Amino acid sequence: MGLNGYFKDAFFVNVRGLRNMALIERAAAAAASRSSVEQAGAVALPHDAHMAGRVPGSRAIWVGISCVFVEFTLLFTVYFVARAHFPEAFHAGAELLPRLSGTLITLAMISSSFCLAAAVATIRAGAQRASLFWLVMGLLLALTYPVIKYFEIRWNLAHGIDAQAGVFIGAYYYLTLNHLVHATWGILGMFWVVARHITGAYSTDEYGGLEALASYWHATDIIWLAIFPFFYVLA
Amino acid sequence: MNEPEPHPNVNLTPLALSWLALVALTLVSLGLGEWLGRASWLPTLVAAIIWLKAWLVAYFFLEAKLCHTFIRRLIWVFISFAPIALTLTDLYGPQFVALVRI
Repeated sequence: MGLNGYFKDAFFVNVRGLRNMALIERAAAAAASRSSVEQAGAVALPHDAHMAGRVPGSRAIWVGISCVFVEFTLLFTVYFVARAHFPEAFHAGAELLPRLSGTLITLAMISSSFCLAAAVATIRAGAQRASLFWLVMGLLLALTYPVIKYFEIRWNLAHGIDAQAGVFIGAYYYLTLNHLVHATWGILGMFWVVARHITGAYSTDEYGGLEALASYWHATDIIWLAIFPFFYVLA
Repeated sequence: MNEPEPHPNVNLTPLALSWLALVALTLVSLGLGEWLGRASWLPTLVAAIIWLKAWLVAYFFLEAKLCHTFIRRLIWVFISFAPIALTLTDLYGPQFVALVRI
């Protein structure tokens, strides 16, 4: 590099340095003035205190959970419109379905949800092995859901309860199978989080992935808690 | 004096108690469907149980009280939707159908 090039580089480095210094000074001045305004309490802060709070897991999982909530709000609306139009079909419908399988799925969902909540609580407390134990228990309980569903559908088909069996059964299949699809994503996620947990990826300070999975599973649980009485309890 | 900031839970006792409550409410709602059959007020009672169970999961498992305001509102709106819609369908279903037909 020639002398000319050297001076040119030095010039630009200095200009950049000066510009950075100016930016830093401007930021410091802004922070100081904001601080004095805050102390005076004259202007509302851009981030109001009441908006503060945790984002369990990650923002990405909450985008997904929001979409799932919107989706099931629409599906529930279809259910209520059908229920209002065909009350007799919906009153008689619950008698057709096996209540035992609906109850077992509910118990599996709330129990696996409890296990995941316990996995998050114990990892926060620094008990990694206990956290892994609760996570595996949650996975095993969650796995009973598709197994019970398989036997339920076999029972249904053996008793002539297929998608052509009326508006109640049609609503039952589209809502419960849609929920099963969402639960399957959660179960696949559990396998991934178990693998990461075994490799020591989670600790007291870093457990975002585990909490994101738990949040998704709790949301799936909340949805099932509405679906269960729609089809297995209300007669 | 400022109140201490709530921290995420590290205790299993409230989780276990809420799980027990969820199991009990599930069995109660199942019994209601079995015993009360077509009682006119059953949907309202079932709606209340749906809301209570969803609240237990949201409050103790999801720790909704500590969440960002948007998430908290999203959860409360969603868990309230099904019980409210169920009660309204039960009370005003025929009027709603007549309105739609017009």
